[in-house]
Amino acid sequence: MIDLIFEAFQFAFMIRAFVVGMLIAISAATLGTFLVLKRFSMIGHGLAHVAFGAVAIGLLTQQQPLLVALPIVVLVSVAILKLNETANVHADAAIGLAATFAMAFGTILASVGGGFRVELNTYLFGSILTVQSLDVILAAVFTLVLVLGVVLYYHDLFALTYDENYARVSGVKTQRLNTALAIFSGILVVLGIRLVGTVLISSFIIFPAVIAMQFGRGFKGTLIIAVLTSLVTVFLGLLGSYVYDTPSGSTIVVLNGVVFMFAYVYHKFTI
Amino acid sequence: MAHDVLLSVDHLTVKYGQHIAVADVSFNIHRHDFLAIIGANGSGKTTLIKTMLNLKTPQSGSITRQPNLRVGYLPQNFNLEDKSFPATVYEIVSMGLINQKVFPKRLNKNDRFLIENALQEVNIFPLKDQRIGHLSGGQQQRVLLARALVSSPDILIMDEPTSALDQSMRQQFFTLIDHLNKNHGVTIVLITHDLAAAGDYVQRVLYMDQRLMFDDTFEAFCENPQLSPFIHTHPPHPKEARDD
Repeated sequence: MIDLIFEAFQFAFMIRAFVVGMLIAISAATLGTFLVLKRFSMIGHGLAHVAFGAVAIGLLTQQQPLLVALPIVVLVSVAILKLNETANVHADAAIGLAATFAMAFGTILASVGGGFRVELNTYLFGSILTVQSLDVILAAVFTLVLVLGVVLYYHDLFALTYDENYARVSGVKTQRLNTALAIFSGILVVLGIRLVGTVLISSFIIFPAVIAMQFGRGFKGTLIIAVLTSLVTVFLGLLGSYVYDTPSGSTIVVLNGVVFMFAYVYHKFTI
Repeated sequence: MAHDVLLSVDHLTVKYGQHIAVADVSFNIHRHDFLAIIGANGSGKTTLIKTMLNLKTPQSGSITRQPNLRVGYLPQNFNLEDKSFPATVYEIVSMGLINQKVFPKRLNKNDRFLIENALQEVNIFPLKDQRIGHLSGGQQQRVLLARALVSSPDILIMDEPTSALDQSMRQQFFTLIDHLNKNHGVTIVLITHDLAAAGDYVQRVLYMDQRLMFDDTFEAFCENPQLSPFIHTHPPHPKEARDD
């Protein structure tokens, strides 16, 4: 097995997958902690469905699918937020509306297009073989900007997450920060598709935060534990998927599920 | 604005769609006031203070604050039910300083001193590293009070601060804010259904029914035969209390 592990890092595609995986792990866990605690965690799931429809448009029009998906998913993410803020539609309902509409639209396109159905399937579950150098650069820039933003606006983001009204009274630009969270969520979903696919990307957002909440007493500690958990599970999951020849996204998610169960039991008996 | 007027509400009207929540309300809040806003559910009390806090935009009228006025805010039963939120008492109280910070906001040694002082002021310093959700309702309310006090506010605005507390905790709470009013000069504005408990401390009463129906001293309120029954009104159970 040790030989297999060393062998894994001799392939350029595996190194790209590991680098992108680690970067997505950091950004998904960071963003996920805010989204889960704001009770907006299902936005990742909803946007993944939207991405499916957008990828179908890209394939049908023979454009680069993820480049087509990026502006569409970001726009829908902001639209979901605005629906929730201004049109009195609850977040879960707004996400459900966008997700089901986009999924249905994508399915119709797949049925009309016919020829690209197999390719569309690779976007459903992701494939580490498809990760390219451009994905590494995009993921690195995205993660750097996100982490820097969180460090610089940490106190405002914490206030926004715990008590949005109080944050507004304290002069925090809550609308701007919410919009930024929505935009980052949209970009994260699109960047994560190659690695884990549209079906499983939301688990990258939700699992690390929920696991960290079982251990962390404070907000900062929870954020750090979420990132560390995410890094470990993505690394081991990718390694496991290579060694046991299992789908990478599914392996990472199952590993997260097991860690969550242990964390939950630990929390029950210790806190 | 006269120098002792901290906040002036002038012909304020606030609507939700077509529904008028606050109708043509005018009054001034003076430094050192201890003021209770009372009224039935749906009478516009919460809408009034939300507008005073810039959380709601009025349809007409205006609110004028004294320049550089520091406002502390204690919301109603906020997040007390959510036991899973991972935030320590210390972190929650530190949130009270963000309105004084400029980008990039960082806590320094003096801020940490202010936070510890605020925790001691409300007697919860030993709980500073506890998760907020693991505290009792009374302790959590003290944490939110410390958060409101940490920036040394000129005025403290509270929305039914005692609705989740039992009778003895209410008395302790009112004693504490009376101490802040008398000894630290903090102006107190609170919405309450509990004038019976607050009566020993409240100096001035505003009675709302969309319009401002009464604005005078607590003694004058007690002598008004139409309004005095409000003093004995039982507070609603926290589950029944709703945002009006």
